[in-house]
Amino acid sequence: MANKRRQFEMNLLKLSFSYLKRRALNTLLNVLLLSFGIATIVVLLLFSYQLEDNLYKNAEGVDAVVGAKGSPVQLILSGIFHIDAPTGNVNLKEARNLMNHPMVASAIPQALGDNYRGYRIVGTTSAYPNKYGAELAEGTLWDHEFEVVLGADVARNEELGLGDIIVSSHGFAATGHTHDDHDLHVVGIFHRTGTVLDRLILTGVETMWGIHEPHEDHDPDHDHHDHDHNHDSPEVAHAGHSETHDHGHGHDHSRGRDITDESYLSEEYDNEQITTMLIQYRNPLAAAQFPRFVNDNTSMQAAAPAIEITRLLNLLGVGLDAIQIFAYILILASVLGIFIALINSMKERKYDLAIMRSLGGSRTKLFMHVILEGVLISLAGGLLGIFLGHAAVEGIGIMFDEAQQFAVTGRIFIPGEAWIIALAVGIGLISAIVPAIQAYNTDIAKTLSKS
Amino acid sequence: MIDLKDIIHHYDSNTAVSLPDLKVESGDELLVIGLSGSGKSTLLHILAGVLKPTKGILSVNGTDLYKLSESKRDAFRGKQIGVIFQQMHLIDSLTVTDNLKLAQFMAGVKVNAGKIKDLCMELDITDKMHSYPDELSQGQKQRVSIARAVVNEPSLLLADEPTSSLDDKRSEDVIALLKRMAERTGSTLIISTHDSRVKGHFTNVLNLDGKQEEAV
Repeated sequence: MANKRRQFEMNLLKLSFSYLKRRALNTLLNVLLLSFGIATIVVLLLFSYQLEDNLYKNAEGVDAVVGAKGSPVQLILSGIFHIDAPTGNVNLKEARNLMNHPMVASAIPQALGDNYRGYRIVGTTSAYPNKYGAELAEGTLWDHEFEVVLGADVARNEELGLGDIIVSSHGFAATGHTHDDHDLHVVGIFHRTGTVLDRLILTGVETMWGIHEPHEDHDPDHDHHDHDHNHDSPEVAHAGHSETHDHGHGHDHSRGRDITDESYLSEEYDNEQITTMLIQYRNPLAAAQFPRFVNDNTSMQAAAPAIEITRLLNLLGVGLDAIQIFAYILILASVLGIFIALINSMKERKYDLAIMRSLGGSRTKLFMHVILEGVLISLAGGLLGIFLGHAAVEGIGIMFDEAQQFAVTGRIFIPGEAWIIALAVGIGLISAIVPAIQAYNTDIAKTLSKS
Repeated sequence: MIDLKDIIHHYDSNTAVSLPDLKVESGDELLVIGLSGSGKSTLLHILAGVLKPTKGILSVNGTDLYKLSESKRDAFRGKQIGVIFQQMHLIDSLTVTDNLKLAQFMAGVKVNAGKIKDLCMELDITDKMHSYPDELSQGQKQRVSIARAVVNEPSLLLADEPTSSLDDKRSEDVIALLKRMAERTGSTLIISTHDSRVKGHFTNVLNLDGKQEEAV
């Protein structure tokens, strides 16, 4: 193999590479320095791209979020992205009146307040998964109280399947107090959607109300206490372990009342509360009037995702800009590093260059030889930086819950990365231009006379 | 044929070197001998096509070398002139083979690995073909340097102080080798040296010691 490699013909690339190999440590340090700068830029690009994409994708089709008065950003974050505490609850009766407002085309209710191992449980209607185009991978949607359908990530990460039983915890932290007396039955699992839905557990609105009611009130037929459950912590009791379910042939679970997409609107629930509503307007004019109407005439507030997301991105932008400046400083340092390395190398190689000229090498050949050396370093730094950037984003996406909320991954490539390669080549050119001019101006006779 | 006529070169505003007219037939040998400052290096650099004289004409096989544009002179030099420098100056980052390939590449000649192998065999450095210069002895380096100068079969082979710092035996070996290589390629051989020991090997000797640097 080594001999075969030696058979390669001589060219500028091989010549330049041989010099880089000769001072391998110096080359490696310059490549690493540049790669860190490029990696930082890649991380920022991937994060901001995916964050923005995810924010807008999740908010698609939602013109306004209505909830309790408070911070509009908080309302958007909790109502759409499920990453902040809600501003509070609103009365169903008042919310129902708003659903019938002439400017409202559709309203999706959300009752929040519980979680399973950190995954939020959302009481809603089938309109919510429909909004994200979610399709069932297994099972069916809920049609009884205490039936839940899992987002793809929840099912995968918690190794849950149809027929499994989970117990919710109060609040949004996995450590909250558990609702031991209300088992939730997994009746369906969604396909992955790439949206927030993948990390949610959906159920009917009445389930959320039922969980927080005294046990005997919600379902006299339900017989959880006969089961052999350990309810000390949110646990899953798998089918066949402690329950005898018969899945796959209807819903004869006797675990709650039948529910439909409209049943929660019944007047019997007038005293209940929901957390938010995702509103879609009947026409664009409503965007100007509806939020003002809600804010002025009800105890609720309406926040427009488009406005709040833009505000949020602007706020984030300041932080991202600061990191970007740091990245550019790293890149500038690497430009200087490559420049210094090449300038020093020119001093060491002045006889080599003179010899090459005496062998018939043109000035242009020598110029290109040095330029190529700079470009090789920067290209290696650029490619390594892109790899490191993607690896870092993938690592962050796996390790941090916050990143998982936005489905951040390093396994995507975005168009902006093509510019990074161009940037890397540009860095090589800039760093090498002065040394290359020195090589171009090599005076053979003068140099060799000094030797 | 090498034809040198009315050559004067000004190094700065008040120092100039004047060289005698010279004619060397193709395939002939010439020893240029002289002390330091006699103009040996100037002559060698002018002959090598790397130092344009202030005045005068150098014709190599009928080509007025310094009438050519720089790029054409580079190409001409690469193909027609081989130079062996006193310090050898092999490229340390390249193997022996690649040093020889570099000479072909720089001259714009097609890289010919077979020719390189034959040459290395003739110079008895076959076992060092994949070695780097810093792995070679001084003698081996000199043979590589000679191989590099003749790999493109130049019509003019120049050697600058090839025997300095060598003992008598090795000095004779090197001169014999240079003559053999020049004969092999049919090159005109011009050796520039201050080493009077080599005089006996040449019938055609130009002594520059009588000439002085002229004040302008």
